[in-house]
Amino acid sequence: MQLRRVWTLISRLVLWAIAFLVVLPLLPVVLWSFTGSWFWPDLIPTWGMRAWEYVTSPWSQVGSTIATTLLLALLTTTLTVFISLPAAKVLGQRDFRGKTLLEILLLAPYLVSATSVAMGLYTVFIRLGLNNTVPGVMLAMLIPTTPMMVRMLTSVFEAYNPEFEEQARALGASPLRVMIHVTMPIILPGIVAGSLFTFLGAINAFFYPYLIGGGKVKVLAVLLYQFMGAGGYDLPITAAISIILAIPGFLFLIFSDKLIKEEYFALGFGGG
Amino acid sequence: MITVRLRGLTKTFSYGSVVAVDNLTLDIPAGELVALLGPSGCGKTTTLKMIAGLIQPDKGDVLFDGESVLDVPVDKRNVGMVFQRYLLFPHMNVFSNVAFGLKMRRVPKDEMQQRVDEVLRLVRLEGFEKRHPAQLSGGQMQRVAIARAVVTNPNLLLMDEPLANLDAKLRLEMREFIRSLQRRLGITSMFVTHDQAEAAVLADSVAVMFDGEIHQFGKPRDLFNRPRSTTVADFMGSTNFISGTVKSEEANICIVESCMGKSKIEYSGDADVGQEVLFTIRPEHIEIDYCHVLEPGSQNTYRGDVSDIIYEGGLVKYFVECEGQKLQVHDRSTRFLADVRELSVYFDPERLWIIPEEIQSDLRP
Repeated sequence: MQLRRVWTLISRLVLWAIAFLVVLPLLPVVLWSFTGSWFWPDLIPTWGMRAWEYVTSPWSQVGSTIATTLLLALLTTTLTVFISLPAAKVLGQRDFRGKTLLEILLLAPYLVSATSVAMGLYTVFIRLGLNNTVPGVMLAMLIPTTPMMVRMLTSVFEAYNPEFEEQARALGASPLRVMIHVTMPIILPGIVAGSLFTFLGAINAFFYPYLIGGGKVKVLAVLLYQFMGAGGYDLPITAAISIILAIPGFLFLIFSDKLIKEEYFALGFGGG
Repeated sequence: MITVRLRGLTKTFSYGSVVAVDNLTLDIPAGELVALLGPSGCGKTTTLKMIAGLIQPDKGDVLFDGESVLDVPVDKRNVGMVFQRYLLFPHMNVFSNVAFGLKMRRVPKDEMQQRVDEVLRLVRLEGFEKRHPAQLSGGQMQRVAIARAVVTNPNLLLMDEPLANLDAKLRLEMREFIRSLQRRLGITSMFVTHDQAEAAVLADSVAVMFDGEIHQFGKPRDLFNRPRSTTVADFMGSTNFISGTVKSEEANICIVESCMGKSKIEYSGDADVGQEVLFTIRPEHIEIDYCHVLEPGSQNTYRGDVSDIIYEGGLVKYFVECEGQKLQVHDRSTRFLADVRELSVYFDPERLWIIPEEIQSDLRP
């Protein structure tokens, strides 16, 4: 009994320590974004809204960049869902020779370094004229998003019993109505979960938009990079953009926490 | 109420050259409950799905009231189906699950409400409308699945292993429930099972199926006591098979000689003198002469050595060897459990049965 209480205390302390370690580095970021200037040896910065004023001003291009980022993430996610659904259905519901090999191959984009993949893609895209275009970036982003989505949806289809469709048919539903009333509602939570992860990944993506987009397709992560290194070292503005970039993640966290409580949503996370 | 006729149904699956259902012919009389009994993988479920229209047969025909329904898609056949795993839609509550078939038939809202209420009362689940499938016990899910299948007033009710997923006690309860419900609704019904007792209790008649073929179709009593083949006898729980030669045959009384000696058998089939036959007696039909009232050597009485005794609570199994013939004897009285070494057993001539398919036509040179 005594031991268990000590154990509970220790695990709780560890949990708080982890939470602290995750949140702590964010604190200076928030502070920096509200800073006019902060030079050594001052302990307290001079506060100011300069960074936020710049970020919200029309000439900073942050607004249009957010729009591009969201559009790109949305397109990527939608396309990923459509590509992954049939593949996941087959992987989740059928058994065939070479299935394991195929599953390993699907993860190849994670096994091969992104740089090598991107450089190869770059030369191909030059020939196709896809570099520096939104469709080009979108196609490139499918490389990391598709395996992840297929993986998640496969577990959805593994848990989904196709006999539900037979049952619905026997109850008098036409194939279309089976799709609308049975198949979609049952697998939708899994698709939503997968889409959220993909969308989040797409919003924060840097490497493919940077390389394939070539500065013409501006997304937040690339903009952030410009402020951090290339364009000049402006910490308050960098901090402000970082915070904007983190907002979808926080929203997602709150949203998914609410959704996970609905038990069949857990399917999308490979549980249930 | 409709009559269902299956005519030469055949189905081979592409992923195996094995014939799942082979030239199956069967009649389900209107209003009756028929069981399709057989070991797993014998084609029972395939047959059921072909009747429902979920699987298209390669050959043969399915007739509802004399009319072929092969061109009628599953959603238009008006067949109620209960699957082994119940398959309640997880995103719908009990009401929506039961109402699904009515919704698909575009039944008006108030009539829908009334019919769902009615059927839920019938399956004793009033007040469960708002529950989700995950909040129900196995028996309740089963009843919802049945309610959902019958609420549309189907022509035919098909059930695939309806009791297989329930624990032993609940299974007995649900047996009674399904039986009385089917009687009350009078729907022509068919269910699939691998459990002989379940088939015997529930069904008006039973079709025993092996490897895609029906071996015997009849009343449960006949399957137990008058099996047509050793396969059926074995599946129905007969363990004692004795081969012998017919010595005399007159007025439905056969005398058959086997290694155990002579046995008197009441048999109305055609077995001629001199034919090799295989006869059987169910282990629970062999009588044990505990009190030594029978003269050794008197008719149908045999002395044997007990090789093993298994005590199973309400049942004791004796493994007896009589003149090289192994016998299994089941006794419910459990009187002399102690280490019996020797037993006298008696075969009632009425309980002995010559298996028709095993009668060898004249083997004499």
